[in-house]
Amino acid sequence: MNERLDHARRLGGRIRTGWQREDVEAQLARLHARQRARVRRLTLALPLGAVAIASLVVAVVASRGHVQPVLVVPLAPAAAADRAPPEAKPVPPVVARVEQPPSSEPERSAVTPGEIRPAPARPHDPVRPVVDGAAPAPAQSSTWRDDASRGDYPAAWAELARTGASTDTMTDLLLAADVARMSGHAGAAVASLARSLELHADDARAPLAAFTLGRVQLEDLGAPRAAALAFARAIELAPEGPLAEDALAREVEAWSRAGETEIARARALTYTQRYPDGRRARAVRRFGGLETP
Amino acid sequence: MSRHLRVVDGPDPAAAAPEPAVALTVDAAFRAHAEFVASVALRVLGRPSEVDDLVQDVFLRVLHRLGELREPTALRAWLAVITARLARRRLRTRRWKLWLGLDGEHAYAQLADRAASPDDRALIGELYRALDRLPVRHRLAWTLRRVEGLELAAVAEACDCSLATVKRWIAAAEAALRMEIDHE
Repeated sequence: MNERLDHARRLGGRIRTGWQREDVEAQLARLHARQRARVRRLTLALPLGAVAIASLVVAVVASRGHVQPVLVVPLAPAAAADRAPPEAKPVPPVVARVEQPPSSEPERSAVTPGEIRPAPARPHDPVRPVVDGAAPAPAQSSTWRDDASRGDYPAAWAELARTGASTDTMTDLLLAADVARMSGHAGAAVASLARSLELHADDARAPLAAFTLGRVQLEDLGAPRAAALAFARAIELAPEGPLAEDALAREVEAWSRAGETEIARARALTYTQRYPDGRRARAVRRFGGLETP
Repeated sequence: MSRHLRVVDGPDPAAAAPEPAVALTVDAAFRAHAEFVASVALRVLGRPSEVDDLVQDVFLRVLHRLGELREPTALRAWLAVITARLARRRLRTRRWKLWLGLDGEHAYAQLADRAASPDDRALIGELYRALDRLPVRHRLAWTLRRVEGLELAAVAEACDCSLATVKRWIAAAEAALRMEIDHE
């Protein structure tokens, strides 16, 4: 092992926390407190967890039709003799069943007190045959918003290109911009973002739209000058907002990439004054030409 | 809690002393070994702010298993292995945070107290920054072996790998650190 690394290793081996007795006692008290809290949490969580698991198991088993969950229907005197056994009844057409009121009062009253009987099957229950002519309705086709929310941006883009965004709301425009960006259509994203700024400059999401516009211009389209203007717009829309520091740093970078060294330098100076300990100070100094050789 | 950080010359008094024969109650084990666990945690993690929680986690982990320990004298080694394993989890979390941009560069020079020479302070900082750049498993293996001085078998147990693998990781870490540290 080389000398310097060996020295560093020996120094590392001599590092101690230097805990004193009172430190250890304080930590021990904290340990006991955490142990008590854990016991309390377990005491609460175990019964709740057991109930949740039991409910889940019952639901899964019932949904698979392996076991018919039982339903206890209390106290319905008389009329028991009028009831035919459920399995003896012909299966009514789905349409007719749908037209019936959801709860069938005669059936309910036909149960003897305390009797246990199978729960009524739901319309999609596989044990019930499908009646002729009652084919299920086709599933509603998904929209580009659905595709986007699933993260299937190419499908969303295809659907969006086919139908077009239906509204000019900020939400739709931002989502459409995301779809365009994520599916590799940066130019369309710029159009959506620019329109969102044009129509909704007073929206709380406008700075985010401007910032995103700058990023698309800078990173996807290689248009640093337009990007710098977009970042400047993001700052103008929310000078004290959470994106302001990043926007200013990216503006410096964009001006630098556009060859506007003087503007980049001026904006870098603004950054260092405004955020002396900024997260992006190093990059800003580099792009703004503030680094001393 | 970790306000008494210092680089101490000479051997670690806690490590050199014979292991105290303590009854295996949590309180006794904690009083006897908490400082040792904390120091191991600090040397592995390099960040005082994470030490207190790790010590707590270690003792919460062993709380119900102290009675299972057949060799009370092996408690210290057992604690070191558990500390290393929990530290590995924290190092991995830290790596994710770094990747996500949620973890910045740490001022490791503060690991040495003011009595240490400026060169030593700088070297400590340099070492831990270099360790931060290593893969977690390499870092852990190297630290446990070269800094903690654990036996290879204990290092392998802490790293959940074979002896041959741990030797390979230590060698890889050594080579990387030599490149980083030994540039002068």
